[in-house]
Amino acid sequence: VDFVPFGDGEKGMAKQIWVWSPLVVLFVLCFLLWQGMRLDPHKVPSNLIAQPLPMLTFKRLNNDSVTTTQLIGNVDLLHVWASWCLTCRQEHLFLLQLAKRHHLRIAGLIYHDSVANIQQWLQERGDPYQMVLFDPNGDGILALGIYGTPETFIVDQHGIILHKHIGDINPRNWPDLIKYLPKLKAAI
Amino acid sequence: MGRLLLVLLFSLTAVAKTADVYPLPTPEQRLAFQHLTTELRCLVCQNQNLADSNAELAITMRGKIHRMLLQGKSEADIKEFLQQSYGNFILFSPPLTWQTLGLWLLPFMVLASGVLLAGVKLWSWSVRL
Repeated sequence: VDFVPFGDGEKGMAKQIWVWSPLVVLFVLCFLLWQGMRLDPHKVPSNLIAQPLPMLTFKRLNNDSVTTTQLIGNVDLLHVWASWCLTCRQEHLFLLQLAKRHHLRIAGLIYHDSVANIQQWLQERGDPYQMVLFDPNGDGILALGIYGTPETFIVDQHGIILHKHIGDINPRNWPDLIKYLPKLKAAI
Repeated sequence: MGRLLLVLLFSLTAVAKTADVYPLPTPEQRLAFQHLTTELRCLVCQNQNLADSNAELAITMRGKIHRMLLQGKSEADIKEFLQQSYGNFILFSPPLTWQTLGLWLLPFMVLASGVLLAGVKLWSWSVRL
């Protein structure tokens, strides 16, 4: 009997499919896994894009209460940070520049930190913030879906969340963020 | 045996600790607390649930879950609240939607194709015999 590895005719075609299909499946799997390696599981997309800021009450540095309603129309960025956060330390200079150069109104939402630490930081390093917000029991942090520092929400004049940026703001990623800021976009 | 006892000893203290830190009046609420903290993901140390994690975020979330239960909120209410702000990623078991359909169906499709393959092969062998 002749040994014909892939046969011929119609039966041969069917056999070829059987032979090659595992290899095809393997390649598809490899491609998906390779794609998966490029994803960063620590960058969790926000569930609040295109939604209004949740109604919350924060404390300011002087212990006054401030609600979301008072933020709407008065802030462009809601920046989540802490004095123990090293990345926040690195980006601070750039935030100072942004606030000064573009008249960007930044609200700083403090994540797990004390009033004393924050006051000391702002005195030593300068204060780019329109207002500093504390969230003593963590309700605001949870309602905004915050899970680390620094995180930044870009908010429009009606209090709608346009974008969330995870990680520091720096001269390299700033051009990508500026797209979401209507008033700056017009100026550029 | 000794190791087993050791494990049992520490698991008991863990349960006792949770009950001390987050006291709840009814057994239903205690059960709800246990369910929620084991079924929700800590987004900081992503492969740990809220019960196991000691990250600041997990502590904040446990506190919030506790407060919401004391306010009389149901397990579903609390899950919905956290899912609303953190998205489906916070759930260890994602809901069945159009987006996750493949995720849920793929294992069954693979199983079905395996059974089909085995069936066809067995049939062709039995025919040849």
